[in-house]
Amino acid sequence: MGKTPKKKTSSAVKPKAKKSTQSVKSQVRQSQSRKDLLMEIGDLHLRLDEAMETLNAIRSGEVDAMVVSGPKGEQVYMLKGAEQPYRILVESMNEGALSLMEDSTIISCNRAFSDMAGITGGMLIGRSFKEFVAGEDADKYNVFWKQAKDCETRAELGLSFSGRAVPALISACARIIEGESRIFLVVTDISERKKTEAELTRYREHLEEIVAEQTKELRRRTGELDALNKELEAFVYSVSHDLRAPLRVMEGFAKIVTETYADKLDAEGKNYLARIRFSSEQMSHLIEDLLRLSRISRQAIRTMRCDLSSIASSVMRGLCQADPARNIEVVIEEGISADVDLDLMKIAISNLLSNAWKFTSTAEKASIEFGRVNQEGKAVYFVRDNGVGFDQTYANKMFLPFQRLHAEKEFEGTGIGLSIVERIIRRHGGRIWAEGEVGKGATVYFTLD
Amino acid sequence: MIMKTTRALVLVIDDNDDEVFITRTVLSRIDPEISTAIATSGEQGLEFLRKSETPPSLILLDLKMPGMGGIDFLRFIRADNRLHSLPVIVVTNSTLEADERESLEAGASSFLRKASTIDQFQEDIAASLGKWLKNNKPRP
Repeated sequence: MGKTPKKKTSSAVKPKAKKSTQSVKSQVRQSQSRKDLLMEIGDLHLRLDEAMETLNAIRSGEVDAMVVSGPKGEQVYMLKGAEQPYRILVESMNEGALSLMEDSTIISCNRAFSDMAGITGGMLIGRSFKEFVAGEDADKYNVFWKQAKDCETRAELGLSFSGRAVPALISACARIIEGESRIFLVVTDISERKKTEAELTRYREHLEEIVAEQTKELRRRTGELDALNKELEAFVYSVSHDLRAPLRVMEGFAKIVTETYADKLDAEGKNYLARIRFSSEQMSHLIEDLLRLSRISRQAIRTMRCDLSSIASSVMRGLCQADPARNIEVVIEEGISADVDLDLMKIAISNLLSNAWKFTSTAEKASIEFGRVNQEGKAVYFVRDNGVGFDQTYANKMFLPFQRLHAEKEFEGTGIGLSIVERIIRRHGGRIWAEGEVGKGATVYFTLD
Repeated sequence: MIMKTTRALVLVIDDNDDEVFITRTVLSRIDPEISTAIATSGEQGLEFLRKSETPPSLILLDLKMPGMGGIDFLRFIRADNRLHSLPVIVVTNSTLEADERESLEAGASSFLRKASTIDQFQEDIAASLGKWLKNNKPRP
């Protein structure tokens, strides 16, 4: 309002003094004598005092009407008339609104509250608000009520209307109206919020339930795995001990027969016995390799910085010493190191170089190389030879246990070596693959992370 | 129990007849003068040791036997005043590290995995005899 509040209420600023709209008009006119001016100042002082009084009266709610000067002349604003918009506002609220006496007696309430209570407004007047407070919250209400008399306060309280529970958030403020203390309440039904909260709690509990269940399941599986591991160990023991024994006996007796009955056996008989011995020996080797493979899968890994170049060099030295007649060109890149399990990496590199050694045995000028290249910023290690090579079609098969790409007669071995290497590389988090061509050599690549 | 009388006496404790036969064959090939005594369980081995006036020069002990096994046998004789220093070589088909560890902890003098061929086995046994039969060095 761009207007100056001009004039006041009932003369004595009495509450509820009705419609006293007499305005004091000061008409300053001419005759500007000093006396007139002094009078005018006095009048202005009076008006200022009145204006201040009016303002305070409005603020304290004691005023009923005021006169406002505007371009259309003076207008009377009935403060009483302002009740209607407020009533409409209060009636259209979603929250319950009540005014109570100091002893909780309901003086008035809006529709929202009577809807909430399921009782028509008229039937609520005169009843105590306290009777709608759920029994278990009675003490809480007493504390709240005591506070409400002194200052604006709010609390969550359970209400109960004929046994129907309604959780509510209640804001309260106290005012003196016509000398009487009144408490005004705004009651918000928080059933929905409570429901959501309860649902959230349920979800959380359910989540805990799920976690607990999964933990239980995990424990069960761990137990199962432990049992399986024990079973596997028993199996490995059985393979290691009980299967080897009869093979040794077969080999031993075949040898004893060969020697003890040498004069009774012809060449063919001796040859058959030799075959028995060879086969049982082969099977012993298979069992030993199988055990090695299972050990590598189960053994714990301890990584540290290792010099792969020097591992490769020492393996090659060993191979050359065992077979000094071989004419082989060996190229080992210097200074290749990586974080690996030393024992396992020795086995892997030794297997790869022994393979290269074996498959170059028919090459005229054999060459074996160990080195490292970078592929997409990643270190890729390789063992390359110019031996018999292999058919690339079967490149993936060669890492499976007991898979051979060459006849046993051509190259000895159980076919487990590359599976062992593959498992070692996999246990390091790496990958292994091979490239080759029949008659042109092979390269086995691996990564270590 | 079979017993021959000569200088070095080797007690073989093993429940498998075939294995025992092979071991005896190998021992006599290494040194025909070695005599062997056989027990097929830990209990029999202990009984033999109790009854014999002079203890054997060496014991070749299997691990897995019905009744008292190799480990229990070892513990028993290592706790015995008269026998605790007897050289005992565990000779087994087992390739498990756990067995080797347990054997040595129980007091085995050494641990020998049976090789898959009789020839290799003979070499290994000869090496063991050479090490433990100091007074009666076997001829290879």
